[in-house]
Amino acid sequence: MTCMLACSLVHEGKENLSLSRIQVIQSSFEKYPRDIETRYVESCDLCAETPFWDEQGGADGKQACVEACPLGAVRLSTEISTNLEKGEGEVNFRGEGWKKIGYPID
Amino acid sequence: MNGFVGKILRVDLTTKSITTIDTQKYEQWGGGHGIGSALFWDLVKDKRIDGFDAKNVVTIMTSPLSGTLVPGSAARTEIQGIGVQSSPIGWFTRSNFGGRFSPMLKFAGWDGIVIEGSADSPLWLDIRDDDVQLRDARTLWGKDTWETQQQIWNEVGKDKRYGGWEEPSDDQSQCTQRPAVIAIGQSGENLCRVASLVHDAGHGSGQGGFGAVWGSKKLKAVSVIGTGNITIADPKGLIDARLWAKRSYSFNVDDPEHVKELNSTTFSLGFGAPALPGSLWHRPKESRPHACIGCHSSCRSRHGTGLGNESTCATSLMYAPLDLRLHSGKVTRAIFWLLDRFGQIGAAFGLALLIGKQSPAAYVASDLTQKYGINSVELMLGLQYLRDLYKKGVIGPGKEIACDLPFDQMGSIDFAEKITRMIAYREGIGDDMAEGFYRAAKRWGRLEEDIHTGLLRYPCWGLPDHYDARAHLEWGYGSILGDRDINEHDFIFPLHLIPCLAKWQKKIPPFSAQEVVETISEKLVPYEGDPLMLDFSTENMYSQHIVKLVAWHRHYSRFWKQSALYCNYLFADFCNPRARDKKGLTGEGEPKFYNAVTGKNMTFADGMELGRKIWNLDNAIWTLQGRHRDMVHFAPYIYEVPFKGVGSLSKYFLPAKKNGTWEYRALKARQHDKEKFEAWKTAYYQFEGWDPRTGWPTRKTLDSLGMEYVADELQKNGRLGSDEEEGRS
Repeated sequence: MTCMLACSLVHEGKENLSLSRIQVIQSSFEKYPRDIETRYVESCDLCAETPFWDEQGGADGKQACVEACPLGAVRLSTEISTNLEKGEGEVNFRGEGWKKIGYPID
Repeated sequence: MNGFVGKILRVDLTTKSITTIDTQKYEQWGGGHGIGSALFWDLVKDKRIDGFDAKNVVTIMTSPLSGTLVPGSAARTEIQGIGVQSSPIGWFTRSNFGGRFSPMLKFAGWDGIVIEGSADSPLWLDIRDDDVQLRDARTLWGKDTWETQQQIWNEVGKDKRYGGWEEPSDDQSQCTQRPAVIAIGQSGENLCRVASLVHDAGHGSGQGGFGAVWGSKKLKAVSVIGTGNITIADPKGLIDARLWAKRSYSFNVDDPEHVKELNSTTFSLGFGAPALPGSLWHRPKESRPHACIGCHSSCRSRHGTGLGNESTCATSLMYAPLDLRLHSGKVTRAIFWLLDRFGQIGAAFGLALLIGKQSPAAYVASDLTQKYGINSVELMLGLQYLRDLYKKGVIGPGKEIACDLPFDQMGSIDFAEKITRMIAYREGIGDDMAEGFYRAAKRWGRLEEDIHTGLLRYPCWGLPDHYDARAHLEWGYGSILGDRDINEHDFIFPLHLIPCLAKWQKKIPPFSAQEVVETISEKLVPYEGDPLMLDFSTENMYSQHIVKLVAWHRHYSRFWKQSALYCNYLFADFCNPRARDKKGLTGEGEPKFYNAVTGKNMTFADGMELGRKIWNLDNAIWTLQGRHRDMVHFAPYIYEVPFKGVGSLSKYFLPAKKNGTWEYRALKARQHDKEKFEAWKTAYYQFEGWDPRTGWPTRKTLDSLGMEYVADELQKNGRLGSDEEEGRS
């Protein structure tokens, strides 16, 4: 949920999960991968206007959630995931590094 | 008041009154533990009460950093009050957990919660922003911690502002989140001294027996959800600092160089660790890392089976060795048997983890402790003790300790289910074990013998062992001078575990002993530049250098880790393989983040001094509880039985200096010398400015820390140390 804290911070100068444009909801008791649910709101500007961050944002710039996420779980893509089009599954950002530290990547 | 949200919730369960305390009154204490101790001091007039007394106060504190983008600090919650687990009395103590609770409490507008009194029937506390209600918990009483939390989620979720927010709107008073809940299980309800507080699946406050304290107060759960803001003094400074820490000190799984480095020679623990759980079992293949809110690392995981979700460290280690013993093939079991004969428990477990076969029992057992709310460290040491008693023929059907547990099936799901149920419901000898295994041994008439031989490994205050006091000097001294097993890994990772893991595998440690000692000693402000503070040799174990090491550790932990609430697993960051110069961010990082959030101008040394003040206040509380230096002793086996190491064939490494050269020395078997320890205590008390005859704080020291009122109270009770005897060197 680092992405939520980063979003709120750079846009509003405050920390508040309700001010984040990306929303991640967790359920500790669920089985992986159903333990995390992600929602987005349309007001995401890809960090084009971030009064509290000096980086250039927007589609060609940097986004705070992408930069802050420790696991590389957020990225900007111009392609719609095939899985998402089918309404199932998740986008898979796990690369070879994940495999080498023992997590499944398929 | 940046970072703080301004008010502390005060709930009296006896009168059902709900009031507030202005945080500003306590801001000088910096957050977390400091504020908790100060609140306890003010609100508990008679410090000699028992932990089960209705007048006992439990504080639940956040820090200014909770709920912010500070790495490894956003999610810790500090619990304090008089505990019920330690012996001979329940000391004023602390426990600490992560997850989502402290951020959510801040978003709801509260810096902490004070729980007082005792209800006449079960209640749960429902916090929705400013709306705070005590609700009837009779339908929750008897349920486990997971059922309780999910039932509360459903209840709060009926209010669509909380968790039902689907569409974007300008109304900030909505959220998508589930409430963060702390709950007790059946163990707490039945006043088991080993009862924990559990949040989400696997975040727990285990030490102190706070689950039982809540049970005695008839408090089943505290739930919080909030939609408010935390103001940040320097938002740009905070995001820049976060990205600085990520870029320069953190593991990047997509960086091939980092992944390449990640082998046994650069095994990484602490701030630069990869997203690998600290669990000590066969991690299920289908899994993902799980981190507390805002953490850059992930020391836990959730699994495709849903078993063992979020459990880590001792909760996984508790049952996995028994599972592996029972379910592995003949060869592994033969190795176990051989290594057992030579006392090499650690080596046997390490080997079994590599080649043994594990069943789901280890995960199920950990889930059972989380659900019932049982302290897994107590059970881990307790299971080892029971196994030894069983092998000696002392426990079992028709034995001296009569019990029908299926000991030949230790490691099975059936055994795990039976023993956890027995404890939680106090059935049969479960009634003894629910008191903690130290008290159980006393009831069984075995304490005198087993605490001398070391069969019962409870070294300090009747509490279970962790890192052995005979080897790990800062751990042992810190625990016996305080109130509990310190569970502070600052020196353990770089000085011991990392070199051991490398050397046991015939690899070169990532840092030489000299590099480690030089790097760390530079960071030990205000006692920097004394490398002998890190000499763990037998010749140095009672020296003034070790006095300084222990003082530094107590002061650092009390403020930076337990008040600012930097996570124990990630801080202190002394040596970091991700950093260009291999030096961690400790010293620079802690105040950088703290100041970005609060707008203060605190230096690292300022934090150390505040930690010293908090440590003094805690000692004043213990003094009023009845502590005297004559009580401050390790268990007899620490003096009488040499520690041989639990690692690979006794090669138990720690840094030591010999003939001007630093080395990782395989410590020879050693025990503490009681007379030398007494002399060391005198030196320590003098160093802290306490009365060496009693160990009590003195007026001179308390006045110098701005705590004249504490000196007055000690004097009123006839327990103020003599200024004539102290002499800070």
